[in-house]
Amino acid sequence: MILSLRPLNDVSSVNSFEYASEVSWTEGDSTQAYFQTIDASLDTGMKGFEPAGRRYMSPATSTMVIQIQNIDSGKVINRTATQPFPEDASIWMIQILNTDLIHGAPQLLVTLTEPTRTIRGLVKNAVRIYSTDNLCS
Amino acid sequence: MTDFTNAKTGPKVYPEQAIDADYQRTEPLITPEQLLRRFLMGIDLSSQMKDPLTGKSMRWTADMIKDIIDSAFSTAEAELGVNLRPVVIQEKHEWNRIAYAGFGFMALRARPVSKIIDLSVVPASGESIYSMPKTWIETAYMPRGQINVIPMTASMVGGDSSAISPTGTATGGSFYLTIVQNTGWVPAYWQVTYLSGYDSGCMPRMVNDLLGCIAATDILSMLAATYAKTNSHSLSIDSLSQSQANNSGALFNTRITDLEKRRTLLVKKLKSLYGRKVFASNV
Repeated sequence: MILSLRPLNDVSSVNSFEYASEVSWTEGDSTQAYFQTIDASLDTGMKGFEPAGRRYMSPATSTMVIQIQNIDSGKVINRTATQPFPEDASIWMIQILNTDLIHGAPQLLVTLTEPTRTIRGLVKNAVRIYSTDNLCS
Repeated sequence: MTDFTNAKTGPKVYPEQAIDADYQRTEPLITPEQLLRRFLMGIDLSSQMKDPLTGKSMRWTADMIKDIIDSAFSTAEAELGVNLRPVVIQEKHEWNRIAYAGFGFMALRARPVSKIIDLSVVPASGESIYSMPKTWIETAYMPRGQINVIPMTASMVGGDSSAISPTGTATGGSFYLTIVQNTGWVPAYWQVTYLSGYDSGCMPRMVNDLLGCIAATDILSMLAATYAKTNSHSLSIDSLSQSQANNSGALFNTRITDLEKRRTLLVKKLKSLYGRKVFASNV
């Protein structure tokens, strides 16, 4: 199994959301970022699946921590994800705070702790955080 | 992850040396949607060949385009000799009497450089025996990889390197510091730790354009291969004849040529920004 996340947009219920190639927001905004857990080793693009990866539902009582990585250890964000819809255990949400001063296209390190095991996944290019700083470089 | 609390920040790397601006010239890494909009507008991204089992054409998906952008990223870094995303580098430099007399001139190997984390004297044991005060490190030319040491306190006024006192506990530290009196060159004397690359994916638009050119060329090249079938047909019956010719595998050649020209231009521009352009000539 290769744990990964599929970004979701416009999420309002388990039946109402859109698959996205990334979740975007502006640095300093307070927002929610939604993802669906997938097993990236199954239902791959080569087999014609779009989006690729098989939806993965973790067992009850599982917990997830998403680390928004940054080379500056002082800017790394570790956020506990929640499952906003009890009917669909594959959808997870993290709260983005207006104090989260991070921008660019950071990687996400996902740690899913299940009752019997812990699995991790590294997700690249799943978020885009735009800066309002004209000298962001 | 590195702690930058005590790092010394140099001038902005892009626009170089800027202190204010009313227009943003950077953006995060190019997305698949931006790649299609900017470089592949109107081009059908379906394979011309169909899967014999499903009867369906394979299409470029967002995940596949992300993967190609990732490859383009590595290609661009190698082609430019520039780190596009932040990376902390630790490298060793020789002690050179002439360079040291020139206010500790040191040319760092990676570009662009935005923060200096540490400059120490580290012998082969790996222990730091002297760490240079950050206030002495001149960062004005750092985006292009140059740092200098300009001592501002009395301990260095004499210009005698033996005036440096070891701060570490490494055995033989004092001896290692004083051997520079008797030689003009000591290999791997300095250890410098610094941050290279653009800040967390906020890259110049030019860089995204380069990534787009590389990725779009790869995509078109792969797509073109699926068109590489017979490129002319002719039919004749008695005195009637009909013939038809098409571009076949050369279908996207015009666009690929345009992208390659733009790629060459962008590589030259970006290399020159950070002193990576090498010019040699016989005069």
